[in-house]
Amino acid sequence: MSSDAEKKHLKKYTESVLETIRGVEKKKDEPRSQLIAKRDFVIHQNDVHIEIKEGDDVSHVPERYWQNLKTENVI
Amino acid sequence: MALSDPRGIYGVHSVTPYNRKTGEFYGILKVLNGSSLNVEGSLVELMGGSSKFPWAVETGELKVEMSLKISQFEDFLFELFLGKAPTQTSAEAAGNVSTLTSVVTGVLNASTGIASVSAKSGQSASLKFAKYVIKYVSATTVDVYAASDVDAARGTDWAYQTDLLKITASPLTVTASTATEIPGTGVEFTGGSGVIALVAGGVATFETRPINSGVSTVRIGGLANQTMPEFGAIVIAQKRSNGEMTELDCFRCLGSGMPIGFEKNAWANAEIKVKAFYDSAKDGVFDLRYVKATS
Repeated sequence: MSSDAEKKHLKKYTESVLETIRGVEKKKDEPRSQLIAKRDFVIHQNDVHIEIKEGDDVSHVPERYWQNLKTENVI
Repeated sequence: MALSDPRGIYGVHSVTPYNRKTGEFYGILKVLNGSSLNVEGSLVELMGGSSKFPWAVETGELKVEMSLKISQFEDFLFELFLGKAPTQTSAEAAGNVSTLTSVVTGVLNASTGIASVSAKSGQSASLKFAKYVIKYVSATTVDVYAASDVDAARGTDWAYQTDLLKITASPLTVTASTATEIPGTGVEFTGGSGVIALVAGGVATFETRPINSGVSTVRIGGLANQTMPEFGAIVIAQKRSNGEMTELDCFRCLGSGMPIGFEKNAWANAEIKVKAFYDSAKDGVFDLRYVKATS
C-alpha cells in the first residue's frame, strides 16, 4: 500500500472512531426519557417501598422492577 | 395368729402397654387419672310359670373393660387407638420451612410465579409454629395470611392486619429469581425464573416450625391405617406406705378411638375404653400380682 493510501485509510478509520465516541457521548448527555405511570401501584420488597401514583415519572424506579411495571400495565 | 391387715389397692402408678408379638414396651403412661379394670358379669335367671321368683340362676357373660383416663399424649397412643404411629423428627436447630404447596393454581410456579419458600438466612429465630397462605393480589404481588397468632411473637413479631388474618401490611412484590422477605416470619419466597405473571385466584400454602427439640407428625384416618393393633397392658397401683404393691397384666387388649381435648384453661384429659379378652396362648385374660414388701 502506498503512503498516501495508507494515510487516507488511517484518516478514515480515525474519523470513524471519533464518530462512534461522539455518538456515545451525545447519548450520555441526553436527558433520560420519561416513564409516566398509567396507574397507581406499590412496590414492596424487602427494604424497598415505592408508592407510585398515576402520572408519576417512574424512570427513577430501579430497572429490576420495570418488568413488573410492564406486567402490571403501569408503564 | 392375729388377722392380717386388710389388702387394699390404692391409686394408680402407671400403665405400660406392650407389643404382644415382641413383648417390647410401647412406653409408659404416668399422668393418669384412673385405669380401672371392670370385670362385669351377668346373672341369667330361669323364669316361668306362676312363680314371681327365678327357678334358678346361672352366671352369664363376663365383660372385661378397662377405662384408661390419661392426661398425656404419647406417640404410641396414636398407634394403639387411632391406627397410625407418628413420624418423629429429631431436633431442628434451625427450625423448618415446609415446601410451598399449591391450593389453587396461579401462585406456585417455577417460572411465572413463586418458585419456592425457605428460611431467611440469619432469621431462623423468627420462625414460628405457624401455617401460612400466600394469595394472589395482582400479576406480580401477593399477600400472606396466617392461620393463628399463637406463636406470632417469637423473634421478630408479625401482627394481623385484617379480620381475614392477613399479616402483610402491603402486598409483597414478586420479581424473577429474587428473594422477597415475608416480614416477621423468618421466611422468604423466591420468584420464578421467567417473567412473573401470577394468575388471579391463585393460592399456595406452607408451614413453619420454630427451632425445636423434636417433632411428631401424624395423619389419622388414612384408609390404609384404620386398624388398631392388639396389645398387652401392665397396670400398676400406687405403692402403699405399708409396702403393698399390686400389678395387673392384661394379656390381650384392644381400644379404638381417643379424644384429644382442647378445653379452656384445662389439661386435655382423655378417657379411652379398652377391652381385655381371652388369650389362648396364656389361657387367660389377665394376671394379678400382689406383694407386701417387708423392707
